[in-house]
Amino acid sequence: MRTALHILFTLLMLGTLMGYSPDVQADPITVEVRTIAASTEGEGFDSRLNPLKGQLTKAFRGYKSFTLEGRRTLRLKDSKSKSMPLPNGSELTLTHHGMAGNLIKLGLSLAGKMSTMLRVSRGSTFFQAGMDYGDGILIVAITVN
Amino acid sequence: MGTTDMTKVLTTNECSLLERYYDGDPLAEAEVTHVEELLNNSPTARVFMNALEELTIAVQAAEQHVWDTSDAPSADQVFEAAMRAATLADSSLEDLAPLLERFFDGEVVAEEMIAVQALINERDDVTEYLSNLDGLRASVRVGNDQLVDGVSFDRFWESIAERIDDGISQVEPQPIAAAFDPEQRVLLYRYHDAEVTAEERAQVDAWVAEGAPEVIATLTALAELRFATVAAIETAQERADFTDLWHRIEEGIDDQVEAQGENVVSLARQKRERTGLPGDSRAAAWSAIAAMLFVAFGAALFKDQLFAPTERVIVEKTVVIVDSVEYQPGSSVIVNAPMKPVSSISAALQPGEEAVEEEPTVIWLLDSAPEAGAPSDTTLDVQDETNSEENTHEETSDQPI
Repeated sequence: MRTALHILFTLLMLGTLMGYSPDVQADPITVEVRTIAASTEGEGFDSRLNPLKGQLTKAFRGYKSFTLEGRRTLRLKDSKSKSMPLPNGSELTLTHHGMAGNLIKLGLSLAGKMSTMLRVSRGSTFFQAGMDYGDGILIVAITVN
Repeated sequence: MGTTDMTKVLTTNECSLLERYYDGDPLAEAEVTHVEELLNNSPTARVFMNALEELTIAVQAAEQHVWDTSDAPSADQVFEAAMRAATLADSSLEDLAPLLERFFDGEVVAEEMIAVQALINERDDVTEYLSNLDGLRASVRVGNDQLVDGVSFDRFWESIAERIDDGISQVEPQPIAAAFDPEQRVLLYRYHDAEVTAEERAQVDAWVAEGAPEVIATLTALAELRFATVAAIETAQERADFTDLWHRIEEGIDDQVEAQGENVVSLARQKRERTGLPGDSRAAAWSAIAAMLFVAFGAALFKDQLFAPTERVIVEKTVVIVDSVEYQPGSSVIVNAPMKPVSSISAALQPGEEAVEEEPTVIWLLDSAPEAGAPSDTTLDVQDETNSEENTHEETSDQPI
């Protein structure tokens, strides 16, 4: 009887520990922002963009030249935003909206132009493009870690 | 030392001194002088010395008689034993076991002795069997010595021996005593150990019915001896623990059987299984049950995390899902991404599946006409994309980038 009580007590303690799920804030994320000038004129691919070469050539087939204009890494805590200017004078704002399961909820806005909400997995890269820049367009490559 | 009285009876010391002188033991000079004085002056001493000489001669004669009348097998007996050995040579070890055990106990007659010796020279299994018996006896003796060590029997054995001697001495000589040879004595030993044939048993019963005193005395003595042995063992058992002894005997038996290559179950293991779990093993059993319950509860509570790796696989790939887009009037937004429902991601990405680089997600912001490279398909629905991403550099440019 005594042993059975011990076992029951142990199981209750384990159940309590297993069922306890404290509110834990989402871990901070780092967002790497690369600004790229794409042009239909000329030929050339900036070697610093080699990690993105496959994606750039596939997503932007009409463009022949890709040059890295700038690169910045932002560290975002949960529910916090950070803004940065882009080479074309626009302002990019990124907001960490927490987690949705294993995905990171991220807000992206270009001041006065558009605002979007995404869910991204760690390590993924997506692009915002279309704004005029030089003789081509400005591509913003965003990698979330 | 003064002159010895010729009529004086020899003292014990003088008898001892004369005996030592007769045996040639080294004596002191004074002792030799005293002996010579006794022999010269005391007729009693000379008679004593002559008696010693006669006794020596009698002993030698008796010894010779014993040799002459010893139980040496005749040629016929040797021939018969050889025939018997030839017959026994084909017998199985199991059939030979009783004979070998009697041989081992020194309870065989001359013919059987010859037969067994022939078997020993001929058959290795017989030799090994006897060797095993010897090893078993040695183990039992060691264990018995440990058991009786420290047990005081307080003249127990001496009193038994005295009682046996008294019983034999009280028996008056009978005609059968003269014919009571060693073979008959061995037969009585076997009769007592219940190792006789029906014919032999009938013969011993007939002796007992006749009232042969030496037979009765011998059987009585053997019964007394058995009683004494049992009593001694019981006395030792009261103070000793046989567990270790039996474990060693069982291990010895198991080793021998295993050495013979037979596929048998260990005697010790069988006994342990029959006796069940010891007390301290019960706690281990409860602990094992508790551990199993813990695992069962844990698996029930975390089965989704433990047994549903689909989401983890999605994380290992890269996923971008555009949930919503808002834009200013006059602009247009195109989200370029594979048209794939969220649920299909899990099905498409199973563990171990190679990542397939698909069309990356691009959020096009168009102020006027679509730019070169902008896709014609436009959607603002929730879309997703998977792609592979390699490592990137960590350099950071100054603002604005």
